[in-house]
Amino acid sequence: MELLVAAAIGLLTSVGIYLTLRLRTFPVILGLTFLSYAVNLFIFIAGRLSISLPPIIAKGASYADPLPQALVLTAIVISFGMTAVMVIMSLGAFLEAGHDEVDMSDDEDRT
Amino acid sequence: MSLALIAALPFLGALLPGLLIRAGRDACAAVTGSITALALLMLGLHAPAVLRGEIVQTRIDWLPALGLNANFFLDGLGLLFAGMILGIGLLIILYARFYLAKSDPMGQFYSYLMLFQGAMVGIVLSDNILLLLVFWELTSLSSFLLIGYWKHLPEGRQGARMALAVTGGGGLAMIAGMLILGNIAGSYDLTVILSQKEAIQASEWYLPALILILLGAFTKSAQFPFHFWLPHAMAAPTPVSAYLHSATMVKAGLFLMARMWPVLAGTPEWFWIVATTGLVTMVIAAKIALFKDDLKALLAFSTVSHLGLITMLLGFGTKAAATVAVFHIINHATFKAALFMTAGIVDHEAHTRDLKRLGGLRLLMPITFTIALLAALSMAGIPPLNGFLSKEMMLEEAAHTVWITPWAMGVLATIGALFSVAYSFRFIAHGFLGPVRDDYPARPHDPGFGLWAAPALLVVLVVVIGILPMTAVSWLVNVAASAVTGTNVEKHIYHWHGLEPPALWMSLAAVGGGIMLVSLHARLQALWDAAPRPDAKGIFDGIVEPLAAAARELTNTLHNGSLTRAIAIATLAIAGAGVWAFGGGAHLPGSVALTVMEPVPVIAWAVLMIAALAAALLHRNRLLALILTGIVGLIISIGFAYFSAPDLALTQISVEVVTILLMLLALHFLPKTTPRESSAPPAAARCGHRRGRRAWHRPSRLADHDPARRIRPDFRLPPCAIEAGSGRNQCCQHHHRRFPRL
Amino acid sequence: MSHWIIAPVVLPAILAGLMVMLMRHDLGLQRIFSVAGVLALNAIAGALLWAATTAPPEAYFLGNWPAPFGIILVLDRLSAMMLMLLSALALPVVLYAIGSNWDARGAHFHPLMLFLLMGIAGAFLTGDAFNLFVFFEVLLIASYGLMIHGGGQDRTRAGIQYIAFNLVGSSLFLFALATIYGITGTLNMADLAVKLPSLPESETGLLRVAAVLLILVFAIKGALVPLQFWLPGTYANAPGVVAALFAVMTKVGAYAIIRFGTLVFPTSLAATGPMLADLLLPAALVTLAVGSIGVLGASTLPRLVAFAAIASMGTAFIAIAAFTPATMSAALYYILHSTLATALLFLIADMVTRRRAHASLRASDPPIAGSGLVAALFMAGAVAMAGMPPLSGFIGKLLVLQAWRDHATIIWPAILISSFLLILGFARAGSLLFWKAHALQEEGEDRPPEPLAFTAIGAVVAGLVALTLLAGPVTGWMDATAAALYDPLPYVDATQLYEDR
Repeated sequence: MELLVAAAIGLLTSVGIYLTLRLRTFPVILGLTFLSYAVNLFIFIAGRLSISLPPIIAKGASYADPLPQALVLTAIVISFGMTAVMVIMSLGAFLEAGHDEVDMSDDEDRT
Repeated sequence: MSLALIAALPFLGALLPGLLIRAGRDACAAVTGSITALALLMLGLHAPAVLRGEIVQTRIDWLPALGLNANFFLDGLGLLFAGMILGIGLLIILYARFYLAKSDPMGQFYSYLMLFQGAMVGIVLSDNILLLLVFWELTSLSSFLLIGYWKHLPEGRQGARMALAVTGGGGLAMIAGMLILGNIAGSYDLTVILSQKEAIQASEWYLPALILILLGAFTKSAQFPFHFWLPHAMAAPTPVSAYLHSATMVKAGLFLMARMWPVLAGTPEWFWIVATTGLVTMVIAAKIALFKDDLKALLAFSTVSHLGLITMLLGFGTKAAATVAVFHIINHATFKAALFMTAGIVDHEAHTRDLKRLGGLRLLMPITFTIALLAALSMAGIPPLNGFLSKEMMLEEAAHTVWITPWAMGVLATIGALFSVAYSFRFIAHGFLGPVRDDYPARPHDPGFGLWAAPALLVVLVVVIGILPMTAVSWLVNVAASAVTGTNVEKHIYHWHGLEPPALWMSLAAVGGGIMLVSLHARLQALWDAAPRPDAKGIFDGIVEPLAAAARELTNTLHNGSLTRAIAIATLAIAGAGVWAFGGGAHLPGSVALTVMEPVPVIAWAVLMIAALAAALLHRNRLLALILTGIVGLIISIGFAYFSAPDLALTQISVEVVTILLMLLALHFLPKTTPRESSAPPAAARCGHRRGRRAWHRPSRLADHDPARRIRPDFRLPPCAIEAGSGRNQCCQHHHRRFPRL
Repeated sequence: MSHWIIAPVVLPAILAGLMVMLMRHDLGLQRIFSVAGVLALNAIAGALLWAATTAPPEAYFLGNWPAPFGIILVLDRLSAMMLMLLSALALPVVLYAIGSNWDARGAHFHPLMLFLLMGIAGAFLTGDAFNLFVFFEVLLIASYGLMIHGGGQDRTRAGIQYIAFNLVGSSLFLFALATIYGITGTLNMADLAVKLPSLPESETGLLRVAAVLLILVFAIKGALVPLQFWLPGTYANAPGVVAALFAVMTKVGAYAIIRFGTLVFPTSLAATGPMLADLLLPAALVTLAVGSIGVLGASTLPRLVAFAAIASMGTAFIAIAAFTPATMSAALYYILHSTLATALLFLIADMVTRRRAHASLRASDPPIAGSGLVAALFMAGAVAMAGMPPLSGFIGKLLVLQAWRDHATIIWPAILISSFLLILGFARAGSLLFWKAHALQEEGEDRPPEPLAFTAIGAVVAGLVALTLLAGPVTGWMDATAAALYDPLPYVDATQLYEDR
């Protein structure tokens, strides 16, 4: 299973980077979403994979590492917040500027 | 404490003129003057002790860990310079009061002047070379303000910037030199450093330190090839020129060489670098000065020439030569300040400083003429004035110095003196002699007492020192020269040395040749004008302007506002650094057994992979890409549940739903598809909106019409060559929409 | 256990929450509470600074959970110093925002600023790497809001770039943290400091990767080349007063690198060794070059200041990169100076841009009328930033030069030549902006005087002057701080991780 998860993380990261490198805000947001999927899986797997085990530390019994789960939880929530901010801002920028390019031209950037 | 106070007084005083200007110009000048006088008085109180050979010290800890302390000391050299700075400063304040026009903000002027004065006094009193650096750079800054004081003059602005660039840059080199010196000596206190001649000269770092420190001194003292900033600094009001370029700023470099003389001088390196630079500067600048029509430009180059002379004397490395250097520093300050002031008076009254438009002034302004005549004769080295005394002594030293061949130094020094005679006589002959003209821009006449009092006083000094050198200055020369050389100097100054010494004949040759040059001036000027020569300002601008332009080009190319490129570079950097780091460590397979693969999860995994890939490939259809993203998120949630994290799964799925909904909403407003386009050429350039700066992109793009190349919108650099014709048209329409004003 | 340690995090959070809920429509009330809050923050930071100076490091256990399971905050000399710097900078910034009416140009300036303060304060205090990430996100999200404060097309789009780039950085942060957790099973910084030296040889490859990734995340914050591209656009387009506050955000990156480079990945750690220095020093030198060339070539005043900020980060990182106590002391002093100088210049740039239509630095554009006071303040800022005497930049530069004296042949020319470029750039900019014909001087709209804004700028200048005059005691304090950084035992002891064993 570890191999599959690793491959998935790899692909998700690549897709994320590919999409972040697009020139319009929408694919960039999608790309960031993909990156956060990849990161969440990566944090999760850092606690090692375990199937059907309780994520509670119990004496003697085996358990799934609960800490990464807590970290992923935080990361999910934060990335959601960030995505929301980014969506709202790109919408605002689109409505204001009439286009949704992410790059700024030389002239704009220097005013 | 009192030494620190002397240095601090002008800085404190710098606040007052700005505040007091509302009380009137006289009050403003009076306060500025009395602060300077107070500082001078405090200095005078220490004079007896210094003249007895004592050294007055004040030590205040500032940053002991670094060795930067507010330590001051006063010896003969410091006394001479501080006295000159404050004394001439006092005269300048008086002169400026009557020189500045009503429209000039006088408070500002005096504030800048006091800042500058404080910095100069600080330099000459510092007992800590780091503290000296602080004051050194302060003189660069305050002179920047003073030179650019007339803000409406473009020459002032340029001259100020050039002066700051050259002297500030030299100061930076000196920082390095001083740090090296301090590290060799183990202390930054001058009194300690001055006692370590052997250790410093034996160090392998001696030469770098020497060169770096001399860079600072040479730039400040306008030595060749850094002499070009000084004439351009003449855009400043004349009181500034008279102060900065006769007695103070340019003398700071000389002061430093004199100060460091006991530890740095005496080596072949010192002799060759310093004496040669001084000699070359003296001759070249004297020659240029002869052909300048602007009174102040003539004086500026003559100053450069005399600074070269003093540098050369210091470079000889002998006690006798150093003593002559000290003597000439005094003499030069007196006659050159007076000359600058008379040039300012002429400018003030006749509204021109152009020698071609002047002449005959002796009848119109007899007082000014008398002052100018005496000062110029002293500059030319005519007995019995003070300039004669030191010039004769200089020639004597030069004649006995072997430089390449035994006679070369003497000949070149004579030539320098000859030009010096020529331009001094020209100053008088073309400015004051000759017939009275009727086409002056303004009818000149002698100014009020306030304006000519200061130069008159200086000329009195010129005459008195000239006639009675032993009474007037020899005590000061001796104590200062003793401080420079570190030994007791008892110099006797004579007018007549008999017929044997070569100096007499060299002097005679110089005067004769100089008079001849002046009489031939018109023809020589024609030759001079015809001869090609490097224009220092042109070269400086030729370096700085392209430098600034290149900096702009580089900066704007690097930071062109492209997020895509920024992220691409970051990705590459991160990946590269990661690989590099991984290569430096070991890695072994883990010991934990892999979990078993089961068919259902594998199918889910396959769906995830396909959905992610499809999202990347089909991302132009935004709705489709969003749905695919949702699928990926869903499978990840399921995965979390499968790998013992049910709460994570729940969170992920609820967040997922909200995110998708939010983005669906956003998509309602945003375009539904992503167009194909290339990132690299700045969007507007493609439509020719930019003034052709990137025109070079276009031919290559037009040449590349292969439609197959358009399929991949790429971020590669510079992928401008990828874009083709049809895409360009779209873009043009698009950008016309974006820039309606165009 | 003193609850004061968490006050710098809790106080702004509560105040910001109150503002959003209760006084959303009353700017006057917001201003009062904002200033009061920042004053209180200053008092707390001062007390904490005193505590950290006189006592060994102290930990605060959130919810009384023991480390490494619970989150801890640790107060030591470094974090106390950074807190003090933060609150000292926040005061003039908030005063300036009020005095210049910036806070009235959009909603929620004061709550956002307080959230930003909370995030930065938390980042300085936390003793847990994941918690550091959380505080990074808090400060980032607040900074997004501040960055686009006042609106405008360019600002919004620059804001998007800023967010996107930093989200990539956040992902990287998590990748790095997860790698570290995967190797060590802990993210508590003190715990890491203890565990990493005994890490099996087979894990060093991954640990090195994690360390590098982490440093790169901080390098994004600190605008280290080649991760600096976000900075000029962001800072130049942000409201001047916000950019001034952002001056301390780059220092968060520097702080984190110092913390991790001394506590978690010290040079003595066999796995990483001098790796961080090898990575940082070349990057810092290039950063310095890019920044100072940018100052010479910048086309507007805000961009010029942004590049000056990059250059000063380059100098700071040069000092940090040596990772020895002596250079660290110089780096800390330089960080204090550079924060104040950058903020000062941004405030002045804002003052200039608000006084006229443009802040262009092209020679062809007409110079702008300016009151002598603004010009004088610009001169002070330029002098400080270019490292000319008499302000603290000169002392900072001397300290860095002296600290690197054993490698003078590379470092000294780099620093001195870049100073030269800065002098050229600032002299050019100043003379283009402020020196003009008398005739044109009277033009330009008459603006009402802004005593509060000028007071704020004056306060920053006063800070620089104080830093200069008190250079002796301050560097003495820095020496002790740098020494403490290289003796992590008290820090580890404060976390009570190993008391039972």
